[in-house]
Amino acid sequence: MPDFTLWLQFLVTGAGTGCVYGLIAIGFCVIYNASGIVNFAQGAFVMLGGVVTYTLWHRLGWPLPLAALGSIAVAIALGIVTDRFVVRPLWHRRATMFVMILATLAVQIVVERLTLLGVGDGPMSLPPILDRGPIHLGPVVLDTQIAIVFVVSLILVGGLRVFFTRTATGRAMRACSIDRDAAALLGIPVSRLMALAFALSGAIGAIAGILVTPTQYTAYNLGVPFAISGFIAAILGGFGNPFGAFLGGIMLGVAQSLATVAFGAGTRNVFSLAILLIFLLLRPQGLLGTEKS
Amino acid sequence: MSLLQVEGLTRRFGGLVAVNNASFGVAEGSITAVIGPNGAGKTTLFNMISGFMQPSEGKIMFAGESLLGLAAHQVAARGLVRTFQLVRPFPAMSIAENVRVGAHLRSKGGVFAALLGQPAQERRIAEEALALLDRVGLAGLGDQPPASLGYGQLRLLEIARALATHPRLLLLDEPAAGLNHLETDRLAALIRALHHEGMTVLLIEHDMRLVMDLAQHVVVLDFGRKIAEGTPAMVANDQAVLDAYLGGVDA
Amino acid sequence: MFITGNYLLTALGFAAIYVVFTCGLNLFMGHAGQVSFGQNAFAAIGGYGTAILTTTLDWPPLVALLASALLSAAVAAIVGLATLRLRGHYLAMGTLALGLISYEAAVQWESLTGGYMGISGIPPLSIGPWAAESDRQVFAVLALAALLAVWVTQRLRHSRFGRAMGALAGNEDAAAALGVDVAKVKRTTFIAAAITASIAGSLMAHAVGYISPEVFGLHMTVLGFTMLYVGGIGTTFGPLVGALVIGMLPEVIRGFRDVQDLVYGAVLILILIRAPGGLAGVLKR
Repeated sequence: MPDFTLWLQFLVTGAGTGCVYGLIAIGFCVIYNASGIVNFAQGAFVMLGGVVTYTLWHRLGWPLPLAALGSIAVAIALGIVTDRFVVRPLWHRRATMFVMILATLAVQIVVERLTLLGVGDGPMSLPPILDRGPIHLGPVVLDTQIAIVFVVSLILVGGLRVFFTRTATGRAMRACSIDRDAAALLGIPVSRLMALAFALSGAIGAIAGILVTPTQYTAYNLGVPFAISGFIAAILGGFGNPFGAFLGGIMLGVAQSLATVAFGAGTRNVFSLAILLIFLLLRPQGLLGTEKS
Repeated sequence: MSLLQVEGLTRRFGGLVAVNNASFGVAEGSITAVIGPNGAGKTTLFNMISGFMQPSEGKIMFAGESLLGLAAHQVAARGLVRTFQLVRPFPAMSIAENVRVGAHLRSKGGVFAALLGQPAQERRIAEEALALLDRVGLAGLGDQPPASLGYGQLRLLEIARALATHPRLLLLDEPAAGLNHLETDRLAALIRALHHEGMTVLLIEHDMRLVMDLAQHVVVLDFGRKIAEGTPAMVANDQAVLDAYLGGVDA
Repeated sequence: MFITGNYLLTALGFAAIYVVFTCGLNLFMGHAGQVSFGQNAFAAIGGYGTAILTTTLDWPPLVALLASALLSAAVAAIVGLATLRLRGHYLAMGTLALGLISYEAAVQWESLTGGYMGISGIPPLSIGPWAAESDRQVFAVLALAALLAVWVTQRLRHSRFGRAMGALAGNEDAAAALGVDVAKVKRTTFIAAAITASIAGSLMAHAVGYISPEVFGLHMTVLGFTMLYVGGIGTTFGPLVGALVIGMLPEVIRGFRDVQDLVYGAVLILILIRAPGGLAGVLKR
């Protein structure tokens, strides 16, 4: 029976991964709130965050911070392109939601394959951002990278909260999520906000990817697993509520960690998917969410 | 003897009481109309009678049997078939095929029968569908998609579809909604013809001209309660009814 | 452009298997208007089921195929009780989760499935003494299966059951008001699609002789959808046309393997945006 500190250790590690899931989940929510669609290319943003940073830094010699910014820019560009050329035409045609999901899934696949062609399939990793030893918090050893993940995530989440509650643009986006037609009637530029939502999601996803890569490797095909985890987190926390989604991410990360300890590493994904199914069946609006019909 | 008897029917949504202790009967072979101002609870009443919503309290008896707890398709199987206020055609099927769906209750066969084929039954259903289209005034349009029809014609399609079930009681939810005068007259003629053949009709309606013309029996709801019941003439002169319809009704 | 020999038959055979798979998809998503991102799970049950039964237990292939189909039907019945109550993107995600769980199970349950290594040495399809061993014989069986699948789907569509499916797709409330037991039709169609997917998976196992988790992964789902949409969802010959067109792409584009999924994804996006009715839709105009 592992002792208490070991459990705590796993808890903390799980929460760290959970922060990343939470950020991805926020990305889902931002787009969902602005447009009512589930963007299954979300994982591509995360993947690009890690892969582009690595490519710019390791293969082209860019300084790390610049490489990171570069990857965020690429993700934002992808978001805007996806919105403009894939989502918008379908949206105007009032395509069914299923078609939208399928189309964004296809975007994910195209981006994945293009990345594979571009940079190959070798695993890529980034160095830790701060080259210090682990931090000791009482009995728990906190890897510096995980600590950074916590800090950056919280800053980002806090920033988003300010954006959504205090700025005109952020409030306009929230108005869109409540009632898009009413928002349009009020003169809110709904389609521009949708583009902004995709751009924002892209940036958040890329940051999540940059944060997670030093703790594990990344590659062209890690987009889908991340997207799924982010989606599960969004369901757990409540799909309409970005901050609930973030908490959902933390919960998922912790649950996964505990499952790994209890049942072994191989069961991690099945466990997550099982959680998803249980929530879909019993409480689709999540623990904190407001159901958007 | 009432074909449909509703007693003490009540429906609550949290604190809101949409239908409050409504009781009335629909005589077999009659045309009965339920009227009332907007928000009076008419559609909720219909939804409960047709099995799309369960009552909070009360009884619904159809041909002597209770309808409580039955799902919508089971209510339809008993012979009580409704149409909808906003027309709901099946857009991907032709007009004739739309009507053929109505024959579902009057035919048999699932997956295995489909594989073996049921030519005689299919022929019968196809012929009946065409006959019904003729009947309601949509002759010759069977192969077109519903998208090619105007709103009034879509309403007629819905009725043809419902008639294909050979209902004992036809529930029409605001059949004249969205129709112009000409279309309303055609609708009235159709309902009158059905009545002459012995069909029992219960309809919700706002169009007072139609109600006064067609109905033998009128039930008036306001704020979920029944406030009057009787012949059209009686109801038109009822003070409570006149009060409820602020601004009055041009009878 | 002349393609000779085995390549053509192999590609056509592969397309034929996908015709079967896509017909099931067409039934559930085209005719009945429902959503399932997880049909590959039933293909996996069919593929692994028949592989295990024929290699480990020495069952006759046809019996193994039928038994796996029955298992798929049972799983679909149980799973359907839960997932078919879901709506919208929850239904999409729930079924996607099923597909992903099946992939995970194929990878993790090594004692049963051989994990990443898969199962090899699967015997060819046979009835009594006759076995489909040569490329031509295999292709004959697969082509027959494909045509059968199209025929069955067509029969189902033009029947009382087919009208009930169409009503379900058109408007659930209106269907119920006409006496259609909506839940039952959904379930039955889901089970039919599962059986079809299972048979496709079994055919794949016997035709190739080897399976691995990748065969029944997300790739299969995307490929099936691409074929369905290219051919024309909800049409009779959509699956056939779509499978042939998409299945033949590897033959038309040399060096295709690396860019396969890229092309499929791009084609799917284009079709969804420009021609959602597929080739059948374009031909109608």
